[in-house]
Amino acid sequence: MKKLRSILCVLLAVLLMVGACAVAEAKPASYKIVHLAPLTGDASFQGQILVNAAQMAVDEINAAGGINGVPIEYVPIDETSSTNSGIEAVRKAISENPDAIIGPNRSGTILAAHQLWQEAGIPAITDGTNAATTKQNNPYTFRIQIPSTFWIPILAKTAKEYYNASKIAVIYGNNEYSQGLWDATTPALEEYGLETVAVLNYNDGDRDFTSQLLEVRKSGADALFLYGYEAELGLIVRQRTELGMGDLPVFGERGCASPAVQAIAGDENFNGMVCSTTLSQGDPAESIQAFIKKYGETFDTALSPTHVNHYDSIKILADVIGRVGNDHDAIRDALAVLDFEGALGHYQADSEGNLVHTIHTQVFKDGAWQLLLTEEYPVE
Amino acid sequence: MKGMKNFFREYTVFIVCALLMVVPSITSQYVFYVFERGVQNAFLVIGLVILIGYSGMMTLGSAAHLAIGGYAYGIYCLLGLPPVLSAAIAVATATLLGTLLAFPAFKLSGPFLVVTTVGFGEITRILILNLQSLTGGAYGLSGYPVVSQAMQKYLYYGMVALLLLVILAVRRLGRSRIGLALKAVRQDQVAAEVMGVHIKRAKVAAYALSSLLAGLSGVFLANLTGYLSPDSFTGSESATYLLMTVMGGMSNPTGAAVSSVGITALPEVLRFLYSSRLMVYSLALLIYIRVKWGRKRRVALVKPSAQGAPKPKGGES
Repeated sequence: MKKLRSILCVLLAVLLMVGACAVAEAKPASYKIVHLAPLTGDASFQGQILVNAAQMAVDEINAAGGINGVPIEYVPIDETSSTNSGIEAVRKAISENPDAIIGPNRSGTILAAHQLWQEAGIPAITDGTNAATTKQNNPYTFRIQIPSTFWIPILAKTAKEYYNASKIAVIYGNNEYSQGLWDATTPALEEYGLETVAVLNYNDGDRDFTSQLLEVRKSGADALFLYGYEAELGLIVRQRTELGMGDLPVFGERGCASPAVQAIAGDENFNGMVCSTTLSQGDPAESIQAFIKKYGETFDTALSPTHVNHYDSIKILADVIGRVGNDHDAIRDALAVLDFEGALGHYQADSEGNLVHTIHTQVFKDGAWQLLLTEEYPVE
Repeated sequence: MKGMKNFFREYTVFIVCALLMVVPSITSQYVFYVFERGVQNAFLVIGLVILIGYSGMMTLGSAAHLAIGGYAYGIYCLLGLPPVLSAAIAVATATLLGTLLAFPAFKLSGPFLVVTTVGFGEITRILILNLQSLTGGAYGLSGYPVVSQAMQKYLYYGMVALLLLVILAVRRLGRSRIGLALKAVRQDQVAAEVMGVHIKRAKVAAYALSSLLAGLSGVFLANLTGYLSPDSFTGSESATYLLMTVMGGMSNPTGAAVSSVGITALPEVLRFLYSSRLMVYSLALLIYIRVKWGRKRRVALVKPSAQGAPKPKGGES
């Protein structure tokens, strides 16, 4: 009997040891996060900022010992600026078998490829703002941006309350991103009782916008809503002053707060630019000013306010993986009920997977951004 | 020795296709997809072999033919036609619209023709961008039925088998009456006409065949991506297809297939170089073009070589 008991004890000890080994083995050498960002092509400027911000968070976490002692392996993958190669990049990302995906950045790529990460069961924190990307019934798609439907109402409100505008002209580019913004414009302007007096568009790659701007002048508009990519935005803003319309306030969505637009337009022409962003450089909050300062010191370039949210994406993933481990579905489930206070804002998941619910407008005045309006959209 | 060389020349196509056939069994899903895209591009590029290599009619608007095929497939499907029927009508549509381009080509040649094709490419892209109710505009076209993930492998086998047939057919075409007529047109249009070649008929045939292959390629593309957007059919895409044609040896369909797969895969192979990969990509192509590959005959695109120049035996395929 005694013998049997000792045998049982030994068996139990062995079992426990095996169990302990299994637990130890369950801890991987690293947690892999791949980041799909447009590092070449039209959007390469913002792509670099996206990667910089995420890299900064990864370095901070790894320097502090990683997630529960396990470092993050961060792999940026070039999504390029075309949809076809974007799909190839998403496939490449999935073939790396990451614990989570950050990106893609372009709404077109998300719409084209979201089924791939749904089939693979890997959660993705995207940032394309096209409202349709989170309406595809894909439980693995999250967005660390506010959808395009929110970018315009706050601009309309600012135009009305701060600029007393009543007649609005709109110029937008012929691409999926700008089109999404234009679709949101008419209802927003109607909501605030603003009249649309001219609607003009251009094709990507155009370099002369005189005819569109002259139309705007002819229409007697007292504010211009402008949507497009950096290169064209900068030129339009510059050509506006060259045509003597420097007093016409220009309203744009997050892209227009990018330093690339400012560089192309020239500082003196950039004055009076109003942008809606999820992070304002004019925000006095300490954590935000500290982040902006650290980013500037680390990369020696200015940041674009709405392309740095992936700093928090990494922090969110680190928090979630630290709590629930690296099972894909566990990460997904934790993201779906996320409530997280990040350095750049508060993140809470709604039923569609949108994580950001605060938006600001800011104006560029006397060489610096100033915060105008802040709106919170409660999670439904 | 010479016999072996000829044997090799004759049967390379079978070796290439056999190699392509084993790809799905030995690669990951991602690599497999790159090969699928390569084979899909090969159809378009073989079409360009007929148009540019055989007939000497330069084009920089080939992406438009591809777009027409793809979009036509998507639109017919969304209108409620069954996918197979949609595919057939889409190829027919692409052929028909592409053949229309032959009419300006009756009168134009050289740089003038190139400008026309560039215009055609841009007009098609901008129409797709602006006909939003039909094509989805800048949002792109999606939601049409595609070959499911599980069936992709069989689609690929079908594509490779079809590719083999197309290569054999195009090679035979090169040696046939119409092929010789096309080559005569390329060398000297007036002389060809004097010799009794029906120039217009030959040009229409070249455009019809090449846009048929482009339409087919477009239908495959629509099935591979499940999503079409105008940014995939820009002028630079057309330039890439031209590059594939040139690197494949201009009038060699087998070479065109190999270079299509190679150039489609190259940016993915060079991914580890991050943003400098585009530079290396261009450099690799430059070096390839500059190196003299054996005693391979160069095909004169515009002017025939000096008279009496000795021609290598074996003939071009």
